[in-house]
Amino acid sequence: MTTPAETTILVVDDRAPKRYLLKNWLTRAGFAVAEAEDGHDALDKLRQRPFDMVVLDVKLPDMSGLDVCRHIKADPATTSTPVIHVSAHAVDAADRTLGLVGGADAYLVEPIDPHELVATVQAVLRYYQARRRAEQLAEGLSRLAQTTLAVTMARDFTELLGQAAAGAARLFGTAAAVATQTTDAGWALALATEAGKVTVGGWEPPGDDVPIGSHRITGLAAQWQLPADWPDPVTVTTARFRPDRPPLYLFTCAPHEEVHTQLLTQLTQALGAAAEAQRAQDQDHRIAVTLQRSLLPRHLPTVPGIDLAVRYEPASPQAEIGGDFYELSALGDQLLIAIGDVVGHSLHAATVMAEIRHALRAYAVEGHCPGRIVTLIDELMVRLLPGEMATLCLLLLDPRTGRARLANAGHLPPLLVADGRVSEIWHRAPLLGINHPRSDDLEFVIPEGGTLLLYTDGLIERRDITIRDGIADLSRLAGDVDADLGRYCDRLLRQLTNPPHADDVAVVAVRRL
Amino acid sequence: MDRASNPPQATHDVEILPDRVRITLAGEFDLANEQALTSWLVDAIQAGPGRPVEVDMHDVGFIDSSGIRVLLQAHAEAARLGGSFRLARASGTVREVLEIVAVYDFLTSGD
Repeated sequence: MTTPAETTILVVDDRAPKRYLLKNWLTRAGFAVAEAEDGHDALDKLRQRPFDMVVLDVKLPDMSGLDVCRHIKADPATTSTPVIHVSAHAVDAADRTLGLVGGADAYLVEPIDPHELVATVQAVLRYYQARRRAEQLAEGLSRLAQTTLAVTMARDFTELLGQAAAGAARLFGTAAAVATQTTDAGWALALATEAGKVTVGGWEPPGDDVPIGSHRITGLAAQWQLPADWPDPVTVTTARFRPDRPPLYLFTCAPHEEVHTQLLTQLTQALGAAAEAQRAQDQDHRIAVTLQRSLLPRHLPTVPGIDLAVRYEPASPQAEIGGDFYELSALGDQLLIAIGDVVGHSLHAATVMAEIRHALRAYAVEGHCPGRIVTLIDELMVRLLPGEMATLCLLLLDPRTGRARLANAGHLPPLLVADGRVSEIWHRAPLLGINHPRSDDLEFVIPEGGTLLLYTDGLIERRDITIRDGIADLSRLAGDVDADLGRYCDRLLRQLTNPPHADDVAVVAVRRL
Repeated sequence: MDRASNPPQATHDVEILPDRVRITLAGEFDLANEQALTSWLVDAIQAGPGRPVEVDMHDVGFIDSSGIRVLLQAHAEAARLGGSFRLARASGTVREVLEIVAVYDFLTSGD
């Protein structure tokens, strides 16, 4: 309970001797007292600063004490200020009832006993303090829940830490900071000012070992590499769940109330759990991406007379990995070129991609033509991978003559850039996995200096434009082939896509020198 | 476009007519609502086994390869139950993507 010395009471009475008496009694009981002469004076003073209580005469010269009380209770700023009525003249039960109905918390009738006055003031304050604590706790828990939800919904560590610091600043009404180890082994600290402005940057953890569980210590801001203007002392609350997991640090300005320490612990544990979940999710994604990359070609072949470049842009960590793939192999005097996309986004799609890629290499080594290879893969999928579907564009190129044989299976048309013109190489045949009849292979020539560009839908697909328009956009940009093919691919990716990618993007460029 | 936090809006409506079952789809279809589309189509096919199924695509604004896979699988399921399955009124980007993967004729012929 608050000590009486911190408690200021406004005494309202038009008679100076009576005010003197009330002030005297209350001061001796340890309360600070301010005085007002009438109703308007009282309401003015209440507007200027908060009071912990008003002792209010019922009969004032300018307005009724009952009306003053109603004003106090109607104003949101003073509605939880307790009011004790004192009445000079003899009143009956009906008058007292009117006072209490009007919002007063107690009603004393003269002659007033000083002990009864002080005891009544203390009883009313006790009730109000309990109520205020409960209100603060309820508000704190509501903000805690909001912050927990915000950090759980965060898509990456920057957002998570920013939401955590901003939530802590809102919760405690002071500047706050949150630090932990992010997935890429670095440590990050998010700072939120009292006004809620958030900055996120790198941070070095202290060498000390953080114990398992939730702990709270007090220190100096400089020891924790907090900004120079951070007010000392700083309260550091840590959460760590296992010895092999990094801790999470929450920095706040020292709390004064018991409510805050409960909330601090709960908030730190919630933030620690959210950080663990984020790390686990990022880790899963990294494993999946590493595995998927390991299923793609490790090296590009060296083919005389041919320049090659490949780009593979991964989907954002928030998206599942895709099933895009490509293949470039020298087979005798032929170059095998393929690009494809397995339907679906998951590690499973990546494994299907690997099976298709290995099958197409095996069938190509046997010496089949592109259309036959595609048909064999299609049959294999219907038998061994039922329900899976994929698009594939496959061609065999003779680097010496530029003669190419192409078989498409539902994939986007490659672009041929030759003599300053861009043409779409359409060859319509159904996608893989449904075993539908196919048209014959398409034969064409890549002239000397000509470039063939193959790509997956991530490069051209946007929901706000049609596929035709997407291909047209690509054609416009692809006509001007950079001397460096790698730079050519980079430029197309930069001009056509907007990281972070919702989907993987693969681009293969083949130029005849 | 953030597919994870903004699943596409899609709806369906099924009418069981004396001579066929008509499913009207509307909205966008991709990996995020693949499961929903599968159950809508399979439920409709099984509601009138053997009856021709017609899927009105007029109000479908977008479909990706996952959605196309569901349509192809629904076609196979209808065939298994002795019925037919055809798409009607596919236009714009939806028709375009069905043509690129070369299943437009197959899915609209009702064979």
